[in-house]
Formats: sequence, C-alpha cells, structure tokens
Amino acid sequence: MRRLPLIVTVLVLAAAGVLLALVARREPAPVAAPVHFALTGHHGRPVTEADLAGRPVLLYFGYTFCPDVCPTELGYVARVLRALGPEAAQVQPVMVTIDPARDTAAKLADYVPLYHERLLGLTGTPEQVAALADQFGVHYQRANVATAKPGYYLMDHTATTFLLDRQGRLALKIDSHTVPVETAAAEIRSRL
Amino acid sequence: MKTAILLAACLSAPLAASEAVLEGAWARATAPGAQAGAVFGTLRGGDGDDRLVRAACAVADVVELHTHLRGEDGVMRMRPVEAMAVPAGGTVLLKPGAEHIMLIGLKRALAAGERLPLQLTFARAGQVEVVALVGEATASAAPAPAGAASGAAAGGCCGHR
Ligand SMILES: [Cu+2]
Repeated sequence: MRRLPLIVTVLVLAAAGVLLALVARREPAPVAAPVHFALTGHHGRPVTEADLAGRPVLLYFGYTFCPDVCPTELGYVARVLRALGPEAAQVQPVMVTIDPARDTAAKLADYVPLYHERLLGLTGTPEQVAALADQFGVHYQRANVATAKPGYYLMDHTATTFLLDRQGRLALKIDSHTVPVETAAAEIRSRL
Repeated sequence: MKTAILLAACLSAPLAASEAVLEGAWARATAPGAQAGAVFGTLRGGDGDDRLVRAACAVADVVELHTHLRGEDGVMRMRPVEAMAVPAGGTVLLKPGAEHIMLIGLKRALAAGERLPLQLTFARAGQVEVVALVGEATASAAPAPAGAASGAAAGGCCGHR
C-alpha cells in the first residue's frame, strides 16, 4: 500500500524530467516544408520567400502600436544579432505585422530602423498576413478590451521568434522569456 | 514634552518620506508617429499599504495602468488594471512584458536621453511627480546615466518582487 504512491511519484518525476529535457532543448515543431508568402516590404515593394532564399531569417510577428512586448522582442533580436558577431551579417531579421489594418508600409518604414538597421518590415492584406502566420501557428486577434482612447485597440498575439534556415524551413523557435541572449545566439550559430 | 515630539519628528524625518513612490522610472524611445509607449520602474511601498490608481503625462492623450497575461500558448495579452497594489515596505517591479504604465496617443515621439515628467496618483500618498528617463528603443532596462538614483530599476532581468 505504501509502495504504490512511491512508484507513482517516481514515474511522475521521470515523466516530468523527460518533459523538462524536451522543453530545455526547445525542439522545433517538425515543419519540413519551406514557407510561402506574398507580402509588401516597408520600402513599399513586394516581397516573397524568393527574396529571402539562401539566407537564414529571424522572424517575428508583431505590430507597431505595441508599446512593450514588440520593442522588447525586437530589442532581444537586436542583442542576439550583436552576440552573433560577424555571422549576424548572414541573418535577415524580419518583423511581420499582425495588425495590417494600421501597419501600412509607410508606418513600418518609420518603425523598423529604430530596432535594427537591417530589420525588414512586412505587411499585406489580412489574408496575406494570416496565410504566413498560420504556417507558424502564430495566433493574433483584437483584444476584447477597450482602452480609454476611442478607436485605439490592442492586439493579443504570439510573441515567439522563429529561425528559418536558408531553404526557408523552420529551424528553431526561440522563447525570449526563457532563453538568454547568448544561448539563443549559440543555438542559431549551430544552425547557420 | 514638546521637545520630545519635535525630537521624534526630527528622528523620523528620513523615514517621513515613507510614502509610496516610483523609483528609477524609465521608458523607451519611440518611432516617429508611434501611438504608444510604456513607463517602467520600481514601485516602492511606504509605511502603509497603498495603490497606484492613476497616471498622467503631457505627451499622451491617455495614460493607463496595464499588465500582461501570458497564455500557455505563448500569446501575450495586455490588459488594463484598475490599480496597482503597493504593499507597505514592499516593491512592485514594472517591467517589459509585465506591469507597466501605458502611454496611448503620443503627441510626439519619445527621444533617447530625454526626461519625461509624469504625474502619478496614489490612493494614500496622493499625487507624486516622477521623471522617467528615456532610453534607447531597444533598451531592456533603465538607461545607465542616472547613477545611483536609477539603481532600483533592475529592468528586464530577474524580478525582485
Ligand atoms: Cu500596455
């Protein structure tokens, strides 16, 4: 009678250990297919996956009306790139807006240089944006709360940064909340 | 008797500033035309439990108190809160991705290096003037130059809650 709980405890601990090991390794979802998209760059010209082919991409989904999470994540991306040193030049940082209704190319053009000199901003129609976000399981929607400023709304959104390999396939998911900058840089370096 | 009271008042003078305050207030530079900004820092409690109930800033149409809820799916949800509790003698860290003072409808961009005045209203301590230092757009913690005064803001790090 007294043995059973012990066995259960051991099993639970073992399962937790396996889970922790998996989480710690941050295994990317098994997405083998290269991404496809047709969007507009902050420079106003069309951008598709062909324009990024051959380069690893650090991809983040955010919006410029975001005062906190997006600058935090973009600052993290900038620090990761700095930690990569000379190899950072190979990597293309990209922010895709999940708020295309407000984030025009012109709006993105004002925004992206503040965070990294090579950050590429992408916008498009709601359908074009959704088509790309869906490939990464990125969720977003207008928040169901009003702010005190009429017409000003907030977006709920997934705040994860993705590394795509040179073929445009998902190589790594990075959770900036748990992964130190140096660790992220090392993980990216090992996949360049 | 009177002396004793005076003496007591003098002795407690350094502690008399024991009202809730926001220490090491800081914000990030914003892009031209940006509509939103956020102010962080460390709320430090005074002698009694207090609550930050309101904030105002001349460069913003609206200032709200916000928190972030992080879903298990990794989705970040920013939500207004009625007030921020500041327990007596305790601290509450306002930091990126968590509690913050949200500036909505910026009348101009915030520039790195500028000092941004804010008016905070505490339920107990009343109205308090605070100056936030504006750091780089990518800053994860309070800008350095303020020296000892900003030492309390450990920024995006480790949550001294
Ligand atoms: Cu907010």
